[in-house]
Amino acid sequence: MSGASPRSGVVAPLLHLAVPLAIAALYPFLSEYHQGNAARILVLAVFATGYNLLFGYTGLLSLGHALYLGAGLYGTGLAVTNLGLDPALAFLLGTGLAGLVSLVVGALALRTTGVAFMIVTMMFAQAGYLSILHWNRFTRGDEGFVIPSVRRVAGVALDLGDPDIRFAVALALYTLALGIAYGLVRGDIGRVWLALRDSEERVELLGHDPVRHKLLAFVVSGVMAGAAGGAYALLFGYVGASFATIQYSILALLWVLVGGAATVLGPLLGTALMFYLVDVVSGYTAAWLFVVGAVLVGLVLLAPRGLLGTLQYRYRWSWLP
Amino acid sequence: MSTTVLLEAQELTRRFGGLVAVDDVSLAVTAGEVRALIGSNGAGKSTLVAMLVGRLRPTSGRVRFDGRDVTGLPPARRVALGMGYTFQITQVFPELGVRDNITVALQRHVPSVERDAAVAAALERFGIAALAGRRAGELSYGHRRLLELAMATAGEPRLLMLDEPTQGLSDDEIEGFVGVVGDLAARTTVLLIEHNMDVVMALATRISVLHEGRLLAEGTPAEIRANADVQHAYLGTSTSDDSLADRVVAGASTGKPGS
Amino acid sequence: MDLGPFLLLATLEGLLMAAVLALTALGLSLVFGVLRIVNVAHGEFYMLGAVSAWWIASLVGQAGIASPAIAFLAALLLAPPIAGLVAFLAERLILRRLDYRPEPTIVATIGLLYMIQQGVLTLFGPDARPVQAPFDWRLDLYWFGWSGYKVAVILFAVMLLLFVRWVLTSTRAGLVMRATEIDTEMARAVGGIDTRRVYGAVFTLGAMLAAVAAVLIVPIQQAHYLMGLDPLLLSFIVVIVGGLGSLRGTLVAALLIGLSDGIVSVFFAPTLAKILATLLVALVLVFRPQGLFGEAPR
Repeated sequence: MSGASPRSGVVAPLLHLAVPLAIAALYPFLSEYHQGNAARILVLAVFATGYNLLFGYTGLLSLGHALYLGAGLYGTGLAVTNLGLDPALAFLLGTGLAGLVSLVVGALALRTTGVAFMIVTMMFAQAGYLSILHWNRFTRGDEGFVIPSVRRVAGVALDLGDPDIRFAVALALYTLALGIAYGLVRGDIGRVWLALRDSEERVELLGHDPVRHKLLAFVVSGVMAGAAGGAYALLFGYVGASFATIQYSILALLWVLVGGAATVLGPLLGTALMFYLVDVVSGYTAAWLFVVGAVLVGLVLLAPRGLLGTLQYRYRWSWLP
Repeated sequence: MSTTVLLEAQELTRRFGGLVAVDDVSLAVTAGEVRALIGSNGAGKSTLVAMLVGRLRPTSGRVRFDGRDVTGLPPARRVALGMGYTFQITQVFPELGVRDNITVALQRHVPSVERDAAVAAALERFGIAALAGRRAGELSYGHRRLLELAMATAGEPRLLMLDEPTQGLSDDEIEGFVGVVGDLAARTTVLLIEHNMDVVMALATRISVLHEGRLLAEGTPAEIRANADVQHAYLGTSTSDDSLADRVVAGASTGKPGS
Repeated sequence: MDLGPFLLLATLEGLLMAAVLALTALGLSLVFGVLRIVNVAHGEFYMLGAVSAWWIASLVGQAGIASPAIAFLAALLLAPPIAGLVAFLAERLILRRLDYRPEPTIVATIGLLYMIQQGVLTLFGPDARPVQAPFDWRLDLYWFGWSGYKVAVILFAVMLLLFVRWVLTSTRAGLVMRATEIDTEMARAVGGIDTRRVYGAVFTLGAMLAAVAAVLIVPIQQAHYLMGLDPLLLSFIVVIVGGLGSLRGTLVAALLIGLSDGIVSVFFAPTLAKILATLLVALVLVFRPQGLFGEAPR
C-alpha cells in the first residue's frame, strides 16, 4: 500500500503464509513454559489483529474493544456451563454475540468522530464491564468461573487440555484471522480503509460510502475480538471480568502500536513482545502496568509507527502490507 | 451544444444561524457547457457548490441531476450517479502512493485485471506518470492538484465540479491546467468556481455571477463583460475585487471555446 | 422511619459530592476548553493530591507537631503544587512535543495514567491511608448530626469556584486564557499571547484544582492509589453532560450529578447507577454532543 510497484504480488502472500508455518516449526523446540505462552499469545494476537483493522487501517481509535473480547468470553463460557452446549456451537454463539454487540455499538458510535468516538466506545465498554459485575448471579462477577476441561468438540474427541492440541487450535485460529485480515487489507476494502484514515471527505466524493466501510471495520474487529474471547474461554478454561476491563482495551491498542499499526503482522509481533516484557517485569514488581504506560508514552513520542510500521514506511516494503 | 439540462439548482437557500450565505439561487447547467461561477469572497460560491454535490444540506430548495431529485442523497450516491468534485484546498490521500490514490478512484468502475493499465493511462493523461512510485504526500501542490483531478475524473463523471482549482498554482501551472481542463471539457460538463478571470475567460462558455448570496447575472462571457450590474457590484470594492472588475470591464483578451 | 431525614442526608451528602466534583470537573473542562485535549490522566492528578496530602500530613506528624489542623493546612497548601509539578513536567516533556494532536495526546495521557498510578503504588503501597480532619465539630440537625468539616468543605469549594470564576472573567490572566480558548491562532497572532505558556499554565492549574478537591475529600475518604478512576469517570460525565467548554454547564451538571448520585444510591444499587450513568454519557455524546449548555457541534 505504500505506492511501490503493484507487481509485488508474490512476496507478500508467501511471507504471510510462512509466518504461521515458521511458528509451527519452532514449537517443538520450545520449553513447556514457552509453548503455553505461545498459545496464549496467538489467541490474544487474534484480538489485536482485528483491532488493527479498525485502528491501524481505518484510523478509528476505539477505547472499548474489551467489550467484544468479553462478549465472546462470556458468551462462549456461559453457553458451555449454563446451557450445556457443544463447545464448537458455544464458540460460534460467543463470536456471534460479540459481532452483534459490535454492530449495535458501532452503529451508534460511528455517528461521532475523534475524541467523542473514543469516549463513546469507552463508555459502552465500561457499561458492559459494570453489567458483568452487577448481574453476578449469572456471571459470577469479579471472581469469574472455571470451564471444565473440554474433551469433545463437535462430536470429535479433542482434548483442549492437552498443551499441544491447545497450541494447534490457537495457531489455526490465528492463521484464519491472519488470512482474513490479509485478504481484506490487500483488496479494495483495505484500500478504502486506508484512504478513510487520510481523508474521509475525499473518499466520500469518490463514490464510496464511508459509514458502511467504517462499520464493516468495526464489526470485523468485534467478531475477531469475540473469537479470541471464545477461544480463550475454551482453551484456558477461565472466564473472568478482568478481560472486560478498560485495561484490555488499552492492551489491544498497545500491542498494535508496538508491532506497527497498519501492518498485518504487526499485532502478532506487538502482542508477543509486550507479553514477554510484562512477564519479565512482573518478576520484579507488581507495578508492571507502569511499563505499559511508559511504553505507550515512549511509542507516541519516538516511534509512532511501531516496529514493522517504521520498516514499512522507511524502506517502502510493499510486501509488508 | 445540446440543451439538455444536466444539473439544476432550484431556489437553493442556505442559512448559518443569522447569516444567509446563499439566497434563493436557481441555475441550470446544460450538458456539454463549461459554466464558471464567479463572485467576490463570501458571495456564496463554495456554499452553493457544496449543496450541489451534497457536502451541505440546503436550508430550502432542491437540486436535480439529470432530471432526478438528488437533494436528499449523500455525496457518495451523487458521485455514483455521475458527479465529480475537486476541493478548494486539494485533497488527496497523502499516506498512499500515487497509484493507490488513482486506484481508490477507479476501483468501483474498473475490474482488477484492467486496473494497472487504467491507472497508467490516467497518470499519462494528466502528465504525472513520472511520479507514479511516489507517496502522494511528497508531491508539490501543483502535482497534487493534477493527481486530484485525475482521481475526480477517473470514474468518467458527467459533471465535474472544480472549486477554485487554480488557487495556489504558479502561472506556468495555471497555463498547463487550463489546457488540461480544456481537453476534459470535450468529454465532460464542467462547473468551475474561479477567481482568476483569465482562466474564466479562457474556459467558460457561460458565466454565473453570485453576489452576497444571490444570483446577480448570467450569460456568455461577452454579456457578463458588458453587464452594468456586474460592473456596479465590483467597481470600488476591495482591492482583490478591483482586478476582477478591471478584467470584466476591460474584457480579458484571451478567447473562449466556441459555444 | 419517614423519608424526610433520609432525603435531607442524601441531599447534604450530594452537595458535598457536587462541590468536590465541581472542582475536579472544572480542571478537566478548562484543559479541554483551552488545549482542546482530553486528559485521561486527570483522575491521577486527583489521586496525587490525596496521596501527597497523606504524605505531608504524616511528615508533619513525624516532626512532632500533634495538631491535625496544622497537618491538614500544610497538606492543603503543599499537596496541590506537587500534583501541579507532575502536570507541568508532563506538559513540557510530553504533550508539548506532540503538538497537542488529539490522538497521540490521548494515548500519551493513557500512558501517563498508568505511570502515575503504578508509580504511586510502588512508592506508597496498595493500602488506603487516612488523614485526620482538621477539626471535629458536628452540626446538630435535629434528626442526625452532620460533620462540620463537610460543611466547611462545601463552603471552601464554593469560595474557590467563585475565585476561579473571578480570575477567568476579571483578571488579565483569565482574559488571556479565555482568548486562547476561543481562538488560539488569533490569540497568538493578534494578541501576541505566548500560547505555549498559557497551555502549560492551564494544564497545571487543571491538575491542581483536581488535587485540591482530593485534599478536601481525603479526611472523609482515605487516600488510595486507585482512587483516581471514579473521579475521572464522574468528571467526564459532568463535562460531557454539561457541555464541553461551558463553565456554567460544568457547574450545573456537577450539582445535578452530585445530588442525584446521593439520591439515586438510596434507591438503586451503586453499580446499576454507574451503568446508567456511563450509558447516559455515551448517548448524550451520540445524540446531543453539545450537552446541556455547550456550543453546537462544529
